[in-house]
Order: sequence, then structure tokens, then C-alpha cells
Amino acid sequence: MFSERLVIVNDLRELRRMSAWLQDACAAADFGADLAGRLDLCANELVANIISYAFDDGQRHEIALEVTATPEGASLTVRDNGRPFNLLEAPAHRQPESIEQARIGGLGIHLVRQLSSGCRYRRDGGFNVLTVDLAHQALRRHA
Amino acid sequence: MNIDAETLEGNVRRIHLSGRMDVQGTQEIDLKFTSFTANQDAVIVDLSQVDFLSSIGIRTLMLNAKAVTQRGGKMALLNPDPTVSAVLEMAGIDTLIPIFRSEADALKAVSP
Repeated sequence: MFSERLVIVNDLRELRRMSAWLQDACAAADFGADLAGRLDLCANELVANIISYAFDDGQRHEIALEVTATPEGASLTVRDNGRPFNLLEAPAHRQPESIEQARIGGLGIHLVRQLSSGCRYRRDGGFNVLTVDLAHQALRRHA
Repeated sequence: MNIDAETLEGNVRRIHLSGRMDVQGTQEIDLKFTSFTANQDAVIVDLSQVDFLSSIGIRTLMLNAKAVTQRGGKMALLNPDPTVSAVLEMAGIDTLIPIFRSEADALKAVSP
């Protein structure tokens, strides 16, 4: 089964390197542009959140990513040793009625939920391990 | 990312964005975007050359749309590509900031 791994550090400048790696991996796995684009967006949202919020010690931390081909499409696993955070427990996004009432921010987790067909989280020792599944067929559901 | 702006008929400010609107791309254009919408009552943001949009880019679009709207002005998005369009819909932005396929329609919508 196709699987590729990458380790980056907690620096937002690493996101472009991550996306380039993901693009190569998706091409090698023949995922197609649609699935590759959704994986790229999921990875950007998840890892930007980790880099921005998971660490408060100012130290260098590694974040490991793994993309795997599945019968339904692909799965992306992200592993970090930041503070415990279970995306599945984050409150659901509430759609504002107007731009004036909109609270700005916090859409990353909502997008990951919209883009994925399944999500699994576990705390493994000192690590957050999150796996998101993405189907070949794009989902269009609204939470 | 690249950003430029021009003023159209009726004092409508048309902002053109191109590139990848991820963390790095958005940081590159964020200040200029805000300066281009400052004191503008009618803004059209051309997204046709944006090939990737993540939540940080959506944040910038929303902040500027909110500021323009709170002044009593209007901001519209023009021509996002299908991928970017899907992200805007998933984020529910299409119901908060109007999206148009033609510049004429966008102009009509934002003009006072």
C-alpha cells in the first residue's frame, strides 16, 4: 500500500515544504487533482493550528505527517508532541447570519471536518495522533 | 502572492490577487490588502488567479469585508476558480460576501 512520510518542525515557513512534499506524494500515488487539493488544504489547516497553538515553550518540535492510500481514497496522519488537543471535541462551527455578526477566525477545523469523511484521534504517550480520511469523491455536506 | 489595485468607474476599487493564499501568501499581501480597502465604500476582489485558499486567507477576506460593510460600503468577490469556490462554500462565505462570475454584475452590486 502506498505510504509516504515527512517530518517538519514547528515553523510556519515549513508549510510550503510540506505542501510540495504532499504534491509529489499525491502525484506518485495517482490521487488526482481534486483529492490532492483537499489533502493539501487539510494538511495546511491541521499543521498551521499545531504550529500556532500546540506549543508554548518556544522550543523546536517535530511534527510527523504520513499520507496513505486507502480503498476509499487517502488518509493523512499528523503526529505532534504539543498540548493535548482532540479536534473531534472542538465545538461545531456556527454559521453567522451576516458579515457584521461574523466572528473572524476558527474556520480551519470546520474546513477539515467538511473535507474529510472520517477523523480519528488518540493521545499516545505525549503525542497527539490525528488521522483524517478523505474519499475520492468530494463531499459536499454542511455541518 | 501578488496584489494590485485599480479604481474603476464610480470610484469602485478593484483588487486583484494572484497566487497561493496560504499562511505565507496571505502574510505577503495582508497589509497591502487592508490599505487598498481603507476608506473604500465599493470593493471588488478578483480571485480568478488564486489557486489555493486556506482559512488564513478567508480570515483576511472576512476582516476586510467586515470593515467595508461596517462603514456602510459593499465588498464582493469575483470569479474564484472551482477549487477556491468550493472552499468558500464549505466555509459558508458565499452567504456572507457575495460572489459574482462577471465584473459587470459585481460592479452593479457594490456601486452605491
